[in-house]
Amino acid sequence: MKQVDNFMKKLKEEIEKRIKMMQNSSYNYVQRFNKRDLIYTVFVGLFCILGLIWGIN
Amino acid sequence: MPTKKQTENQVANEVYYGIIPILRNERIYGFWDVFFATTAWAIASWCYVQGGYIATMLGAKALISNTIFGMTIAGIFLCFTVLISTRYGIDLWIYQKALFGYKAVLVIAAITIASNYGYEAINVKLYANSLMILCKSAGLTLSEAWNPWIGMTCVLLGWWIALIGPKAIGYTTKIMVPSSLIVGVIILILLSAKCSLAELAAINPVRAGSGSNWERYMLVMELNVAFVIAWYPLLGVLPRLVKSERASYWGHLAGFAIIQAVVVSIGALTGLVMSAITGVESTNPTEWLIVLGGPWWGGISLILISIANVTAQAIAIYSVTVSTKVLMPSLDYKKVATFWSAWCALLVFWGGIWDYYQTYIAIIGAICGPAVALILVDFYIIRKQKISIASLFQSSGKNAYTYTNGYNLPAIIAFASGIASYFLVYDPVNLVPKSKIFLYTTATGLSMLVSAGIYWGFSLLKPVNNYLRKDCQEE
Repeated sequence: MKQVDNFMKKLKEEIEKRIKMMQNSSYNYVQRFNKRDLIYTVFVGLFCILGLIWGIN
Repeated sequence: MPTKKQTENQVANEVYYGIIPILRNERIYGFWDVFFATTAWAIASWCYVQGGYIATMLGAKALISNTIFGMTIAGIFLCFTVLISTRYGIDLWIYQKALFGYKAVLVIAAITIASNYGYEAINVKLYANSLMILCKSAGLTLSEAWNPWIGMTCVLLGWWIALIGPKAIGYTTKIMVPSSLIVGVIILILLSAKCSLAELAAINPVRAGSGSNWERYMLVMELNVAFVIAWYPLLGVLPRLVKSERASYWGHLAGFAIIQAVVVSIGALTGLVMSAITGVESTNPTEWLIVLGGPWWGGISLILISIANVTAQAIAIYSVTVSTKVLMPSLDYKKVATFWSAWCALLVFWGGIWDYYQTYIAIIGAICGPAVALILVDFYIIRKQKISIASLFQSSGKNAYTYTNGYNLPAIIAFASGIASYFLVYDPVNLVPKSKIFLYTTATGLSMLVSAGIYWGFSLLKPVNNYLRKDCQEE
């Protein structure tokens, strides 16, 4: 039980440390899914809808 | 009693295999890493079972278009959820504390992970079938009663590998992927040797007479959409390790939707050819291999399926155990792995997943569809892509996602309504639509629309919005 308590305490400390680092958004910024990706996605979606219509006919 | 150093190591392990939010400089996956990892999962032998089932309802052209395009559309919606995991470096289950509440998320996770384990039971069944056919060809005919006991060796081997840890899992993936790929290539070669494209296009499915073309097309669409949406419980493990949202989204879409659709299509075409050769419905890929490939090629393929399925079992136990530990980090890894292995063994001995495959897929669609829709509405529309990480981890006394004793009531009502709407339009036992709405939305699609609509509707009411957005006051 004491092992679990120690582990959970350490885990909480590490998480709190990282949350503070993450609150600085520029530090943890990952490249976003952008407008270009959205356009590609819409294009893929439309292509798939056309494909489905082709398949049923 | 572990030393301080061992405890620190244990905590450090949680960065890659557990609960700790992962920072940008710790990310290890790019697009190709995600693509190969998701492909490894997506091409497992359950794809052939799915292909075999849908081949009973449609001809070749409709099967391919329905599978490739239908699965990709489902994948587009599903993969928008991985952006959350990648952006914040957290497992999707951690984020779902904001959606369902601290306690409700445990219940939803238990239901979805437990129901998703049916896929592993299917893999174990295929492993047992393969070994029984191999024994038969060696002159040793075993009765059907042996099937689950032989399957148990797969469960035990998978459990043993999963206990060794992530390194062993890494090695097994290197065995699983080529084995599954070789089986796919063998099936494709055997298929093209047996049947020309023109002959393939002319084959009528076994159930061509049951219902209109449109109805059968939408029934297959339902099975395909549910098959892709079924990845939802396992979606958080990989994307938190990816370096960019773009790589994460396209990598997951390519593996879990497009490549999987290609393998299911190969299975579907093989099932179609099999029904033309034998005149009966066959959904068992282990039978196909012997009929199409004869003793040599069939035998080699069955050995490869057995190997791939043991490794798939190991990876599944490992991933599910990690997902469980993400929500309950104090649990012992070995005990959790043993619990899920025992659950798989129970499903194998029961045998219901294999016997009622289409009903099983329906249950998966009914549970996972509304959950995915709720995640999308909650994150992108209601929270406008802003969540409180401190509240997700209940750090520094922040508890914005407590809601009503740990349960987000509007989300739970919307989730239950989505499931109810599913069964209002579709009878998954007799596999028939109960309403014409099914012919335009499918049951999974409708359940997603209903859940999303109800939850979004609730959020438009000012008091409910305040109830949902307590995190606004924190960050």
